[in-house]
This record gives sequence, C-alpha cells and structure tokens, in this order.
Amino acid sequence: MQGFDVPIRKAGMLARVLVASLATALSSAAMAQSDYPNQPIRLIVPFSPGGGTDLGARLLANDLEQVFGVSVVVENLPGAGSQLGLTELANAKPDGYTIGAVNQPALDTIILSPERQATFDIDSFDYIINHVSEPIIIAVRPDSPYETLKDLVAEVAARPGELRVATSGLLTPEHLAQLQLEQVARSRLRIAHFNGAAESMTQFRAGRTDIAFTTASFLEGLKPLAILSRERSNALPDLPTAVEQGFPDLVMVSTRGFAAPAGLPEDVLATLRDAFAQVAQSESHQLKAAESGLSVEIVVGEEYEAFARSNFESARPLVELAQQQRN
Amino acid sequence: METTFAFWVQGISDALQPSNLLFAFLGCVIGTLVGVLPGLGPAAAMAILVPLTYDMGPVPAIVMLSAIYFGTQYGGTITSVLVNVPGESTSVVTCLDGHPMAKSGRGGAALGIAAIGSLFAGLTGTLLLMILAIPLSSLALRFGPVEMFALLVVGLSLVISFRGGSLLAAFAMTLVGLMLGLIGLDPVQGAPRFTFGITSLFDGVQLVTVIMGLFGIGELLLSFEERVPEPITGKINSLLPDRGERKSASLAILRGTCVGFGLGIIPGMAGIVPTFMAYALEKRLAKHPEKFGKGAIEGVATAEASNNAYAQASMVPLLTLGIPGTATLAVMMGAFMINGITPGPFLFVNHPETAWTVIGSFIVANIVLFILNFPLVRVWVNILLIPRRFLQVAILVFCIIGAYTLRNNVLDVLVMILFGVLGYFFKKIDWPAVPLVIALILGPLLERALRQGLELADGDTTVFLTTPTSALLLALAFLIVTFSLFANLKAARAARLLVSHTADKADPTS
Repeated sequence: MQGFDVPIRKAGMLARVLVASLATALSSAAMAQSDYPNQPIRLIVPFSPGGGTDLGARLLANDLEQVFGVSVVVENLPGAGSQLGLTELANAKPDGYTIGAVNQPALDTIILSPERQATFDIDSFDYIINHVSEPIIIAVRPDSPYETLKDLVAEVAARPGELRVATSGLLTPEHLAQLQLEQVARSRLRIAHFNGAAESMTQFRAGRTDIAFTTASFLEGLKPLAILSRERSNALPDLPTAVEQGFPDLVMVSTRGFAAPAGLPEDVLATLRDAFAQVAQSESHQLKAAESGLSVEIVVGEEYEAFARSNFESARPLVELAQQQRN
Repeated sequence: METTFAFWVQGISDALQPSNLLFAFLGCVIGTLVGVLPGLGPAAAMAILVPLTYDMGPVPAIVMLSAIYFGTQYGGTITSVLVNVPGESTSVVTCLDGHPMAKSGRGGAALGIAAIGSLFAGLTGTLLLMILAIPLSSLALRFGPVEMFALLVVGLSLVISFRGGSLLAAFAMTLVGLMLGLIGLDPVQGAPRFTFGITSLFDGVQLVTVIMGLFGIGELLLSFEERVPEPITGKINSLLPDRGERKSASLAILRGTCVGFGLGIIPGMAGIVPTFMAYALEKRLAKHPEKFGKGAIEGVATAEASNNAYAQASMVPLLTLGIPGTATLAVMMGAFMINGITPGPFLFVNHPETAWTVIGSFIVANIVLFILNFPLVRVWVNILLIPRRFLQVAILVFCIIGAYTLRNNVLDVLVMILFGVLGYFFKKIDWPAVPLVIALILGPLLERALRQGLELADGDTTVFLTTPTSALLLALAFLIVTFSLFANLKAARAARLLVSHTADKADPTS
C-alpha cells in the first residue's frame, strides 16, 4: 500500500515548498527573532527520498511540527554525494528557517578533497544535533581461520597487496576504515570500489573479497571480528570494539546529524537545539526510529559541534592518504 | 523446482496486491492510449512517465512501466486497423491485412482476433519467461566484475545492429554515448571529468533527462509535422470472428507466438523482424496466399501474436543479462536503475521479490489489456477523434515538470531540452539515438567493472582472458562485431556493383 501515499505526499510537498519559499522571501526583511519560529522551516535532505537519511529527517520533521507549531518541510536535494544539498544549506540565510541533514564522513571528504571544489568548509555550519551513528564492522567468513582482529591484522601485515576488499564507494566509511587498517598493519590491501553496500557484500559472499567492511544490517552469516566504534554497541553487546582489542586508531562511525548555516542568532540556535533534543529523545521517536532500523545516538549542542569537528579532523589524514595512493 | 514454483506463486500474488494492481491497470490504460495515438511511441511514453514513478518504489514503478510497454503493443493495433497508420512500429505488419479488413466491414473481427492472439501470445510468453528466468540467472554468482565486464562488452557490440542509416552513424552515436557516460566524478579516483566546475554534473548527466529529451521531446517535435488520416470508425460491429475466420486464425496465432518469442529472446532484435518473419511464414503456409494484403485474418492474427510474444521475450535478456535490446527496453532499464535496482544476473539473487512480482504483473497486465481491448475497444476508437494539439501541449508541460522533480534541479530541465532538440535533429538525419542511450547506460557500468576487475586482480590485465566465462564472452563480442562489419561491407559492395551495372547498361557504347 506504500505506493499510494508517496506520490500524494510528494505533490503536497511541492505545494508546501512553494508556499514556504514565498513566505521566506516576503518576510525575511522584517524578522522579529523573539517569536521564532513564525513561518515554515525548510529542512534540506541532501539525499534521495527513501534512503536512511531521508527517513530519519522525515520522522523528526513530523514531531518538530508539533513542537514548533509551524510546518517543517523536507526538501530532497540529492546529487554529488550530498554536495549539492550541503552547498544550498551553507548558502542559505542563517535565520533558522533553513536547516539541513549533514552526514559524516561525507561532509568531511567533500571538504577535504580539493578536486571537489567545495564552496563550504567545516565552519560553514552551526551544529544542532547528532541523530544516528552507524559503526563499521569488520567481518570474515564463518570458516575463516581468524578468530580475533589481531589475527587478521597480522595476516594483512604478512601479505601486503594480497587480501581483497570491496567498498560501497570511494571515500565511504568502509573505504576510510580500510585505509585505517592499512595504516595499522603497515601493509596494503587490494581495494575495489563498488556501488553501494549490497553490491560490495555480494562480492564478499561470492568469495571475491577476503574481508568484509560492513554495517550491522549485513551481518547475517558472517563472523564479525570487531566493531569500529569507541564503545560497544547496544544492539551487539558481545562484539568487542577494535579499541579494546588494542587498536585505538581503528575507529570509523558514519553519523547523521542536523545543522544550520553558520551565523544563526544565539537564541534561534538554542531554540532549535532544545526542540530537536526534546523530539529526538522522546520515547515515541526512539521507538519509531528503532522500528525503522535507525541506531539513534543523540549528541546535542556544543557537544555535537566538538564531536563533528573531531570527526572531521580524524578524516583528514585518511583523505590525504587516499590522495597519495592514487598518485 | 519447488522453490521456483514458490516464487511464481509469490510473484503472482504480490502482483495482485491492490497497489500493484492499480499501477498495472494505470499502465495498461496509458499504454493502450499511447499505442492508439500515432506518433507517440512506447519509448517516448515511458521516458516521459519515468519521473512520475520516482517516488513509487521500484515494484509499482516497474509494474506500471511494463504494463505501458505491453499496452502499446495492444493499442497500436487499433490505429493500424482503423487508420492504416501503425500506432507502433511493430504494428506495421498489422496494417497490411487489418486495414483492408476494416474497409470491407470486418474491422471488428480484425480487432477481435488481434486481442485474442495478443492475449494468448502474452500469456505464453510470460510462462516461457518464468521457466527461463531461473536457469539463466543461476549463473549470477559466477558473475564477478571480470565476467560482468565481458558481458557488457557483448551488450555494447550488439549496439551495431541498430544502425538506422549507416554502420558509421551507429558507431558514432555509441561513442557519443560512451563520452556522455564519462561526465561526472571518476568512480575510482573521484576526479571530476567534463564537469566544467558545475557541481550538478558531478553525478553525470541524468540518464532519465537524456531519455526524456531524445525520445519524449524529440518525438513530440516530430509529431508537430505529421498529419494523420481520418479513421474508419463507422463499421465496427461484431468483434467475434466467424467460425471460418477463427479456424484459420488459431494456428496462425500459435506460429506467430513461437516466431515472436524465439526471435525476441535474442538481445538487440528489433520488434519488426519477428513480426515480418511470422507474416512471411504464414503467407507461405497459407492455402490462399493471394488473399494476404487484401484482408487475410491469418495475417492480422500472426502479426499481433508475434509482436506480443516478442515483447515478453525481449524481457528475458533485459532481466537476466541486463542487456537492453531496444530503445523501449533501454528506458525500462533506466527506470530500474533510478529505483536502485540494476537488471542483470544479480536481479534474481538480490531482489527476487521485485523480479517475480514484476513478472507476475505481466500476466495481470495481459489480462487487463485483453479486457480493455476486447469489450472496451469502442472507447479507444473514440480517442482517435481527439485533436492532437491538446495532447501535445499536455505532454510538453508534463516533461518539464517531470525533469525538474527528479532532483529539484533546473539544470536537468535544460539538459532534457537540449537532448530534445538533438533527438529531433538525429531523427531528421536518420542517426539512431538508441546506440547513444545504450552506450550511456552501459558505459559507466563497463568502466566500473573494468576497474573493479583490475583492482581485485592487482592490476593484472590478462585476467579478462584467463577467466573462462569472460574469454568466451569477449570472443562472442568479437564475432558479433566482425560479422556485422563483413555483412555491411558485402552489402555496400553489392550496392556499388548494382550501381556500376546499371551504369554499364545505360552506356550504349559498351
């Protein structure tokens, strides 16, 4: 039945976008900050409808409308691995009426790759909240002789340029984690880039790659060796982290949060942070998010800003390494 | 075998879910409409409607688009019989006997036998597709990047069979398509190629906008120039063929189905070929071959059966190998891909529910189409009377909105209009647009497969020749290209000889 409601929602959405942008244009000159928000809020999702980021944003947008009393209009601006939507977000007026979803490390790798010619950087945004965190998991086939991450790292170190791995795309979290593993083992992997996680996992299941870099939803039938988050995941409490197995540099988590263009009035930013925190931490939202397969990890306000900046800094050497490898 | 049967049941029951049923029905109506309206082909109609399916999710989207495809095959008949203008290129043969039948007052019987023949061929074709799908796609897990690369080379080599004017034109268009496919970020190194600093081009030109432009806008521009003759609508009485007609038509339907399916399964076969061959076969076997062309019901029956069986069969290489044989199938492949599903060996492994629901919907679509085209045929006949200028404006507006809503990006509208003008121009100079589109679809896949294969083999280029499946496929591609080249040269030489002969004869001194 899902097929029915989507196009209708889309049509409604288009109309609402029109109304929203018109309203913004008319009233932006005479804006009283104290009564924020008093007009529709535009929430840019830099990915296609139907993906995980879109899903999370739409869940939150619905609840935010209740809190704010104005409509929160999700606008999908996909393209160039989120660069199009992020550019639009960075260039929007910092008045709190345009906010957007930002995913890391996508944000970091766009800024850090010179050929992307990004017109924004990590300072171009005011950070509101982190919503979802998805750690990368390193896994092997069940019949594999490796029992711990240590075994695997030793093998990678002993056979440089022999073990094969697949990414779900260039500079994706999987790719960055593979670069980390290369550094930790002081060795080299054969890295092939595929289009999306489903394709790269098919290669692994068909025996064309040796180590799987994946996420929790693809673990069926695999032997996971380590999760690349700082602490163990609630969903997989028995899976040790790489950090606790003695590899503090193997940390790769893809995160999804929300931000606004930099330079928001302080009271507006505070209002946004409070509202997002209230909604995201509510029991009903947590339940809905869990049903949709989102692993929620809330980090609010200044703490999220520090978190985002530290993510950015840890991506920097990896992107540089990727640049060197191709030369 | 049991699991296969379970898949069949699952596919058909999913296809009967209300939302899928609704979209199948919608697709049938649109398809028949497109078929009835001369000038607007299935590729154009599907290209125009692809953006509409963007938010539906893959299954309803593909269900609707395939129903449109089959619908055009049914609907084209009506225009062929009543107006003597083939609604679709595959209906050309139907005109030969269908229109004479209409003139002599047997138009109803012609439409009736066409609908019956189409239903039989459609259902038989789907059944054969269901039987063949699993064995063909069981090869899937053996297809790594290396084998995939070789398979895509075969797909590209088949492009040559689409020469409209000349082999050179087909090659040139293939190259243009491959070059268009290079636009965007390099998949392995992330370097921008031919983007001119426009971030919106980082993902390449949007396939759908190119298809909408070349086929949708291009055909629309052409249709402004065409005139359509008046239909014969007065003489449709009984749709049921009389006893004699039924008897002579039933074997024709069976043979048409066999020819249509057998040839349709070959990737790159144009629909008109099996239809003509079935017609020729029928004429040779007939007791009264002199009646052909003057209103022989066997001619209508076999032509319609074979073009419907062909439509089903052409899905086999698309779904199981990912080779889009015709423009329409290229659009279909595009629709799969914007919905995140790549047709090919992995379709039945990674998305079995989607694949089987789509196939199940083929059965539903054929039955719905039979109902639309048998009891309700008079409704469609009236549509032939609507002035076309209203439709043309509506289609244009629809295209522009559709292109914009793909990514909410104005650039996509401009790209579509650019390719619309190009499409019109290509038609005028008789350069085929299909190789361009197929190369644009297959090119980026080819590049990815090549580089993935090389990465996994640590840069060893011989891997493409030492892998047996890959070597076999590459040899096949080589044969296809050489054969086409030789056939072309031979034809050219024959033409030259003919010219010099006539020149010799014309010269009185020799």
